[in-house]
Amino acid sequence: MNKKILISDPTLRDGNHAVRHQLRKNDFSSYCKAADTAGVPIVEVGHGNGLGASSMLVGECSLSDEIILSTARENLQHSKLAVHAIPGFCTIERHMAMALDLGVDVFRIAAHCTEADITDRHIAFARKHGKEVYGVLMMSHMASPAHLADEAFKMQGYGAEGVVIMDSSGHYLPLDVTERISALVEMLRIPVGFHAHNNLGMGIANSVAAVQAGATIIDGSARGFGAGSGNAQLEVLVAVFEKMGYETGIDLYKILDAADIAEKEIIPSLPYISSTSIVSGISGVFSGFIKEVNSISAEHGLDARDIFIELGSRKAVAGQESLILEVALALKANNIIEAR
Amino acid sequence: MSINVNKQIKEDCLGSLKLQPDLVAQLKDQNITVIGGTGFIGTWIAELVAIVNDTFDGNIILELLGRSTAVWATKHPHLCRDDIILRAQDVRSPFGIREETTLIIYAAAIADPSIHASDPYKVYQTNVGGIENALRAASRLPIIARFLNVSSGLAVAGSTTEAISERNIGILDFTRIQNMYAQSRRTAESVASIFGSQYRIPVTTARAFTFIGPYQSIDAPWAINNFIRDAITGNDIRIRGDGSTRRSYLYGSDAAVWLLKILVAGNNGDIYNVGGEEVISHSEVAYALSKLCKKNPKIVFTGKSASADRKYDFFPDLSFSKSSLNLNQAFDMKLSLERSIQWHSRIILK
Repeated sequence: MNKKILISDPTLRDGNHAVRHQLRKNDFSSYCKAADTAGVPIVEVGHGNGLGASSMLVGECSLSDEIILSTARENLQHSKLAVHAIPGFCTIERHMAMALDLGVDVFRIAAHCTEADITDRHIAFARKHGKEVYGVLMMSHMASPAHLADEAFKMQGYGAEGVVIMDSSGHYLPLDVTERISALVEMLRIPVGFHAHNNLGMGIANSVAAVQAGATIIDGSARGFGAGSGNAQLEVLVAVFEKMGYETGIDLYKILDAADIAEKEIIPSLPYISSTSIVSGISGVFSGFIKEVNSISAEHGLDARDIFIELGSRKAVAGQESLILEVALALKANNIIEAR
Repeated sequence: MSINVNKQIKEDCLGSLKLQPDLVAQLKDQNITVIGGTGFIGTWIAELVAIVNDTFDGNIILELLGRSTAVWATKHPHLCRDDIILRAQDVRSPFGIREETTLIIYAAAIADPSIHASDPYKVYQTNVGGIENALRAASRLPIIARFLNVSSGLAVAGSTTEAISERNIGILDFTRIQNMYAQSRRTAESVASIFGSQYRIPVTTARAFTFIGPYQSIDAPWAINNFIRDAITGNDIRIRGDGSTRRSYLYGSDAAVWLLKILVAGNNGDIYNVGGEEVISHSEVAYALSKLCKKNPKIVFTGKSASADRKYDFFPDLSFSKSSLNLNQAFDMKLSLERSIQWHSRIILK
């Protein structure tokens, strides 16, 4: 077959969600070195919500964007350095210009799946400066395949060189992925990509479905280190794609070594599919909410699963973390009323 | 704009005019209105008119209608002169044309793919509603000698992977939003045909293909311009897939001369392709640019899209344009690239 898959590795970005954005400088340097040695084409780093996102609302990062980017840059010789950037958190003049100065190669400009319009200027800025730029549609399960394709078409029009759809809450089954990726492939002239979350244990299967439907960009994290129950496990993806006859350009043994380093030095507890993760996936709520939901539910004596179900019914999206407390307080008030 | 840049444009215009020895006489004393006149085409026509008037005593009056005339005037102060009249006008609203005008070029269109994607209704209103307003305005003029609709080769693309002739009728899934721009150009041609038939407006159509040169937006997401920008700035030139997609390119001054020739010498109801003759792949363009630029940019082939097997070749069959109006290029591909780099370098690196 000899078809190429471009692997993008968000271990040091999505994984930051799993540790409340507290990855240390050494974590960035040691994993960047390992990924670089393994030949990972793109290494994405930063706060879980991307460039400029460190805040009380979505979590304060232990390191500044500048330190993260300069550390990663120093330790990547061959792999491209990438950032996730959500307009709103990330401003062009303050954050993107800084990232350019610090040697970022790839910008992944992300928006909620129905709001591609907000990525226009950020994509244009990256293109204008000769950088590789991809559009990213988050929470993609919240739009129909046709709607998603329309939004991806906008990103292509703005100058994106590929569009990646994110299964941010790990909600998809393989057929859902096939439908959406096929719709984008049919609509676009640029490569299409997929970013999995593993809430329902479908991370690898969904990534394979994406590739079979025509995706050529796949995201995967070492040991699946990412928000909630994690992402598609990178080293498994590499092995599976190799078995299927696809080229990733990644050395299998060396990526296994990199994953071992990640497990030993970076990941405090390996991602697993917890009960709340399953409920997060079923209810279609952003995986990054899990830590906060667990914390607030414990504080208010509530069942985290109830909070997820309610958040799902309110169609909560990333960036609306303040809804978690609002929902918890509403549920608590209802419980008190019912008890009376 | 520096004196050197103006000198280059003048040389370009004179070079293109030289291939049409009768054109200056045909344009003499004419009143021309270009609707959508502040874009690439309108600016090149303004340059040509200024040169014909200054060098050959052409006595042409040119009216340019556009949405952003104030910005245009700031960018091109040397073209703000008595024989070039600027008028701010959004073609989506009804408007009138100077009654002295006898020749009209309709060049209003939104070519920016980012607007095609985010505001397709605006594109449709401009392309279809705009030409209807223009044709109504033309029908109110005391004398109308020609209404030249500058359409797009995309209106009839998709039916062949070879050169597209004026006789091609194209294949478009008109229900798909990604085809809306091309479909709106098709519809605009239909509207022009209606006015030609029902109101006897002398409509001629020019189908534009890919242009190159000064006054193009180097930041718009079109392959050739992005290649030029990256080559000048020393960034990698990134090519999607294997770079085999083919285009041909017509330099700005040649495009303007061709359109003016069609305006004064084209036949009612005829369609003329306007584009470059030399067919060249994206990768060939990139390598040619790399050789021409001092910074020696690296050429990188990025991931192939799943749809890469579909053909996106786009270039015209020019046999009718050449045989009927003797339209020829003064600037071949190599010269076009050299002149484009020269001009854009001065703008980007100044």
